[in-house]
Amino acid sequence: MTREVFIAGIGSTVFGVHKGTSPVALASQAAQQALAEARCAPDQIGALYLGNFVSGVLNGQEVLAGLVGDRIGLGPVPCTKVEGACASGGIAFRHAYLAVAHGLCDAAIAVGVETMTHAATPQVTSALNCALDPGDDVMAGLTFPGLFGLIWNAHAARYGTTREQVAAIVTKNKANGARNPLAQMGGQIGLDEIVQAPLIADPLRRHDCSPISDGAAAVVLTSEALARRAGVEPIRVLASAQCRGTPYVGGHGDLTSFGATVAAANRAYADAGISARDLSFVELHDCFSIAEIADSEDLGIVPRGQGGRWALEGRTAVGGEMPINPSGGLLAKGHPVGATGLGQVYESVLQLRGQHPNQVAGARTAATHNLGGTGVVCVVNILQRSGA
Amino acid sequence: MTTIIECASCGRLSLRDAGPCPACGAAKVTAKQAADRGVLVSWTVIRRPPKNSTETGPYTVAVVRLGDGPTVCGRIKNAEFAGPVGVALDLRAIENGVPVFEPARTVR
Ligand SMILES: [Zn+2]
Repeated sequence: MTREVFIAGIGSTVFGVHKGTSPVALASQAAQQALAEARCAPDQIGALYLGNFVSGVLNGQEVLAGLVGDRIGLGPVPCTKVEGACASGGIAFRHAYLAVAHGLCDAAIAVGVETMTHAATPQVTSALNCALDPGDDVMAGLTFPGLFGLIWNAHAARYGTTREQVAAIVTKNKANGARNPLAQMGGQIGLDEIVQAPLIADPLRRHDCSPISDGAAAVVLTSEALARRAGVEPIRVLASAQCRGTPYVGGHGDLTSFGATVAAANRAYADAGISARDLSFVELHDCFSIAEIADSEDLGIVPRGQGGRWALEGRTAVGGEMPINPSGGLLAKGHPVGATGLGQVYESVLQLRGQHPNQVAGARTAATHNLGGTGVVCVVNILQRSGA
Repeated sequence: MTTIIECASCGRLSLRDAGPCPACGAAKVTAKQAADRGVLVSWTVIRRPPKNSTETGPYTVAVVRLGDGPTVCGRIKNAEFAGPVGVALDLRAIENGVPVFEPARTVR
């Protein structure tokens, strides 16, 4: 049997450029903020899970979980790093959730962190390529922008998705980012500017790609009793589902869809006892503009094939019928890969408390969606106002 | 027709005529036959290769379904290919383990 789990505190650094700050320092900053909100002393935390992807490759630094546990003053409790490429933060959240749900401890902390901006872009591309299957995909010279170029051309061929529709995602998320003080970038950007930027992997151009980012985010998860003592409104975790998908491009029966997202979403909706229609908004994994289209269809919040059309019609904007990425998403808020999944939870909790700078009116139930590798892992969480 | 290998360890089908399996490194593979004409599932032109690449780009990466056999990831000879999805492609060569395709010229 499991028990109910609540989010009692959240913390986050700004996502962007933190040159000269170590991943341990960034992660500790976010973790201490989350502990303070939860009114949780370090010795009350029974476990720490840390999501990180490329610190070994880009910083030459590992054992981040123990280093952060030491820095924030935890007792001699298990501190564990988890890795699932860009879904590392989501996986850390799920492990902390499981520890509390199954009664291993009354309070656990999930921390995500990445520092990337000190490295040159080709070096970052190489580091991210560690998440590719070692067979044909690597040998053929595929990159992550390339994977989403493949998805775009497949989606356009099947559903008639246009450049203008995909650009609407960029325009929406950059506008949302401008309203989020934690976002790396944001502002007004239209179709002309988007199509004049250099090609990265056809048809993706510069603004279709999320930026390279530094950042950290943290979440304290507790039992109901501890959550009632927090200094903030506790948010209920209705479900945290993680599924595996095929690790290589040729294994995807359908290049317009990620099987891991479909499986994790179905599992999360069933565990939470809700359907996609019950969601007030979604923070999803828009690592590239076209990804938001595939993800929104896989999550069942937009009809299959219509992700582009819905964006262009404004139906996924704040104020639309299904707001997507009111935070600005990865495209504008930034994508410090190991922190991203926890950053999505941070943003969603602020929305559910009614305290987000880009607030979705009446936000009651949210989903976060965090995808890793070429769709080899996906985490979907369902969160709800505890008063709701 | 062309030869593909099925890995005895991980089960992956790869377009080459001998082991080891490129996905898991296992030496034990079974050779099979597959069509050397396929259909383009999707394509992209890589303009920013990773740091460890010896290439500067652009080059075209393609996903190709071989007859009713496996779907493979390889290259199209034209470095700045422009589609469309669904065209027929012929396997021209396997260069350094990478299948290289060209648009089919003749109807068989
Ligand atoms: Zn194998």
